Amino acid sequence: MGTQVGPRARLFGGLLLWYGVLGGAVAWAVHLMAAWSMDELACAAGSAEISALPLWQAVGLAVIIPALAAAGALAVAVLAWTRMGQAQRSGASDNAYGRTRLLAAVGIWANLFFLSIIVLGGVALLVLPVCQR
Amino acid sequence: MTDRGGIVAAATGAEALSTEEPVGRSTGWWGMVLFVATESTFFACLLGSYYYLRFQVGPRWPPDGIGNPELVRPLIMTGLLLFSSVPLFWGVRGIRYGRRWRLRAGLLATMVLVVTFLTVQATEYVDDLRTLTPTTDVYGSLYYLITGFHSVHVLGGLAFVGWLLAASLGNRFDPQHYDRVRNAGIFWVFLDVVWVAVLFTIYLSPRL
Repeated sequence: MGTQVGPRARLFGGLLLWYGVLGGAVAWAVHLMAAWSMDELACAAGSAEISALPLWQAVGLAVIIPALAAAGALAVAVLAWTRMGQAQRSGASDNAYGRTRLLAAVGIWANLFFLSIIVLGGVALLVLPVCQR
Repeated sequence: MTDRGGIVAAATGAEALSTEEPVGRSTGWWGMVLFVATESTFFACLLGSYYYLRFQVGPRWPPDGIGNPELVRPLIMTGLLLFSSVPLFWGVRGIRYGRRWRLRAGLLATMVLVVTFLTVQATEYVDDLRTLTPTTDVYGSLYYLITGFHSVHVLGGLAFVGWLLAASLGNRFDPQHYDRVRNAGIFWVFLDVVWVAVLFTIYLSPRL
């Protein structure tokens, strides 16, 4: 296993892997709820603004922030995948490395999927007029 | 700055990233947590459908002259369900110290409260069905679908607790082996949280 890793670094590393696996899914859920509810509530009230902010900008924020979170999760998943591969190639045969590599692979595909959905939601915002029925 | 950089480098290394977090949980615990996660998603979809259709229908909700749902019985049910967690966790705490009688009494009290909850729910359905059925309109469908699915989960929880009570009467639990009871606690917290969301959505939100 090589160098000694402290408990704080271990905790942070373990949580980072959770983020790398589930971050995209959570970001998509937040994006869906925030963007949809803002659009639906504002348009139902007959307004194209939320607190003086144009609706397209508010919804745009609900696209960009979750997209950045999903992209971050994708980067963490890729990092975990790479690090586990390096460790395994250097001769380490810890079961935990194999398990983590599998989770990282799941994270890469899941985050790509959820990031695509969020980005396509943003494209819809650029193409379609707000409050279109 | 160097310290922080060192921690980041260590935390993104292979050893830290492969740390099991949370560590040392049983397969049953993971199973219950994943089950609760999938069921929570299911209820989130149901509640999301409710709000989506509510805003599609228009400003008047419930539609077509249907009055707001009654509030007294749902509040009683809320008290019953939330309070049913107390004897359950009291029993879990008891078995940690080897007090089997406490576990049995706690499970039995939980079952009594849950049966009362389901009975009150049934009386509410009997009254509601006189004026509103699942096929009346979209509101009726959502009302019975959401509260019905929650009741089915409560019924499942009742069966789970009954099974645990039978096992505890057979002395299957001791301070080292009570994972199943603890998993029931996780499920109970899920039932409570979902019910509070259902209470707000179905019974309180039409009044806002």
